[in-house]
Amino acid sequence: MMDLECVESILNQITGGSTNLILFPKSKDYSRLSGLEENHIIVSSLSQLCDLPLRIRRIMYSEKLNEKDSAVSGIDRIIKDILSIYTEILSKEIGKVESTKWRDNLYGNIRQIIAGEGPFGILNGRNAIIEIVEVPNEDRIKIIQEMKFSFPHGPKIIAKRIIGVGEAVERMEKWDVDDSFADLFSVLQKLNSFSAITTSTRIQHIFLWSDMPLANYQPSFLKRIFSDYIYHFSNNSPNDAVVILLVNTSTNSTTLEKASFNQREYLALKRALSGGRVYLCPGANEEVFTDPVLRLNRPNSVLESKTYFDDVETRIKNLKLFDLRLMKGVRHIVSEATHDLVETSSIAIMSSCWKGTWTESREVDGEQVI
Amino acid sequence: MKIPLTESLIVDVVPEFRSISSTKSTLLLANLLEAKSDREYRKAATNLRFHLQPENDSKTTKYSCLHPSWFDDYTKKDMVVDATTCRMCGYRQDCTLGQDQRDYVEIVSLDNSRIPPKKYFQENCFTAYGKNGTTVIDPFLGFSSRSGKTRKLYIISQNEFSRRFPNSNSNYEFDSSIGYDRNTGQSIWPIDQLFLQQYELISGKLKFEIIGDKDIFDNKLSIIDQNCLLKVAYENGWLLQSDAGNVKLGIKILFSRLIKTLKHRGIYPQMRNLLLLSMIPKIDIPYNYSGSGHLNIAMRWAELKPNDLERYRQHLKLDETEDPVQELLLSRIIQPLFKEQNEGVVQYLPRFPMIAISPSKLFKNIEFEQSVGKIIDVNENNGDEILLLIDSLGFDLSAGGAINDGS
Repeated sequence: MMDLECVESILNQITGGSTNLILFPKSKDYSRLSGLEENHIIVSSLSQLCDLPLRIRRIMYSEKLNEKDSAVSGIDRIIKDILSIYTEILSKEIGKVESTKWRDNLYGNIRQIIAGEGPFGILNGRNAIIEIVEVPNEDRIKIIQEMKFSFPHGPKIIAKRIIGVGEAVERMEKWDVDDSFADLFSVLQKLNSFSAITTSTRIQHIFLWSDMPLANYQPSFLKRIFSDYIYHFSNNSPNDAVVILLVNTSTNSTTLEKASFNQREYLALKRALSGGRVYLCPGANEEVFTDPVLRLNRPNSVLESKTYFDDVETRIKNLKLFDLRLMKGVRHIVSEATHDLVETSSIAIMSSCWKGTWTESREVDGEQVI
Repeated sequence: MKIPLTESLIVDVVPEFRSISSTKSTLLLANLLEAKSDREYRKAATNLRFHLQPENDSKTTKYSCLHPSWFDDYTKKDMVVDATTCRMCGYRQDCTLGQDQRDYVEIVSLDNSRIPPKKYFQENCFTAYGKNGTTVIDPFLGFSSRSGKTRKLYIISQNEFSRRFPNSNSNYEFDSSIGYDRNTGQSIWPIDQLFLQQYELISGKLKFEIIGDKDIFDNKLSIIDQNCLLKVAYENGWLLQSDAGNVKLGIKILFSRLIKTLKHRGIYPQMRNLLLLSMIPKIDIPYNYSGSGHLNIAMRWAELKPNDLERYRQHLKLDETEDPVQELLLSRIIQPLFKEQNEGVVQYLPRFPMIAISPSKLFKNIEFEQSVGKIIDVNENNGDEILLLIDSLGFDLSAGGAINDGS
């Protein structure tokens, strides 16, 4: 087990205590991770990466959706209203049986949007259940817009509005609603107000592996890596996951605790995607920092430092990391800090992990489509 | 092997009986046996139950009747009974007291693998940790719309699974693929699914035109698309580093013709929206690079519908001026079909969520993302092979192939 205090201290320094931390949760203790509100960073051991898709789905589909008196239960009620009005409208056109199928489709879509983007995504963004389109017109100072909602025989216009060019109007304001869709529009308005005030939850999962105590790495180097992940590397999805490997590359180091990964840890690394980053952190004794000319030429100077880079390559080979996609398409970044250099040279490898959601794509979910 | 999906609500209690007045009880039982209608039976059952109800001072364990509305004297108040009342109740056969009506999964083995005992599954796969200790959970919660409900799960060795669902394209990473085509043995990606839906509408209208290399220079294939095509072609083995320049030109000609076919006025209106979509490499499509929607769809079409390339090949044979390079490229691109479509067997399958059960020494052989399944969790055991516990998402895998189980 890694030194919890060290991890906690670094993360608190970076976030200023504004983000909640959960350090090394017990394996499969998902109950602690579900129903979280606000932003959280969950630091886990590398071996726990094996069940990442299970963890993410448990968090997404936990009892949170059924909790009473919570914000989510409020949204549940509104969604039920949308579905009920939608089914009522449809059943007049295509009968009760068919309308139930369409209701289920719509529910599936909404559920996926909530899971992927949060409640805001139901009415906003490319997967939204409504579409607002501009109607071409010759008037230069007015814009005509139509709000469309998806129905079995194609989208239907449920409301129209005319706004002036440059006029600031909210998404659900100033609509002239078709009488037959008044109830539907009214509940969409409720949803809009509700999702605007619902705080979004964002969880960043860090799967950490280190081959020596964290205190032996250069402090500014560790801070840089965690900071880069939290503020630059992670995406904005409600659940983001990254693996961070801290690797000592000094061949004569006496502080090495783990020479290699255990079988489960190595398996877990198969969840890591390509296109990550390798942070290079030469120690105090590496030649690269003594040559004033080469220092101006980083990262090439580091890569040209034969001993350091040979050590890096050897260590990565010994860890069998070259066999994994984790090492494909990586970007090299050199740690520039020299004020707190330590004896040991090291590298950190950081890469995103596949979570088993399609938030970046056209939002189709494998098990539901075929 | 059946595993309940919720905690047991049944408390095993040793029934405590008391002695009853035999004469009246015998008469009431006889009434019950002689009843000629449901109404008479209900009345007799009510009298019998009333007679057998425990007194307030009875020392036996008392509890409320589960089905008080089955009797004539039903009120909304609790009807107190004990083991003796229930033992002689007229509705004993139909009563749910003591019956386990929980939803469960039945684990069905698909081969001769040595499967772990029930206790192993319960402790490792079906246990969740909560604030109040452990509880039972469906491990496929969130992966299957049927989770938490009675259904079959399948267990099979990894070797047998790979044999049944071969993968004809190992170049791609399957993380974001969403399904599997049994005919070609290939995974399908989100854009493929949209394409295949449209394909059903356009397949009868496809028309190939063979007119030399005019199409490339007629803006059917932009420079960016040409570069993307070459990269994908090299990665997929459609082009080899040793190929001469005419082969490179040949592949550009081939795909510009396919794009032209997709742009034919007879089918373009149906295809337009799809062809104009932006597509994310390795998410929406399997390639590491993305060209225009036209090129991406043309490349996926060539892979997913090899019969159409065969039709193109027939057209080529009719044209004596055509370059033999096209034939060479087709032989590299066209994948042999694994299976012709049989009636009743589903061609397209979803990617099944699976749990791997494996000894730690075989962890290195586990592949999380497979063409027809994705491993969501790994549990260690002391067996000698990798086993997969599969939620088939409504498909009956025990029928030799995969057929929709109709649920």
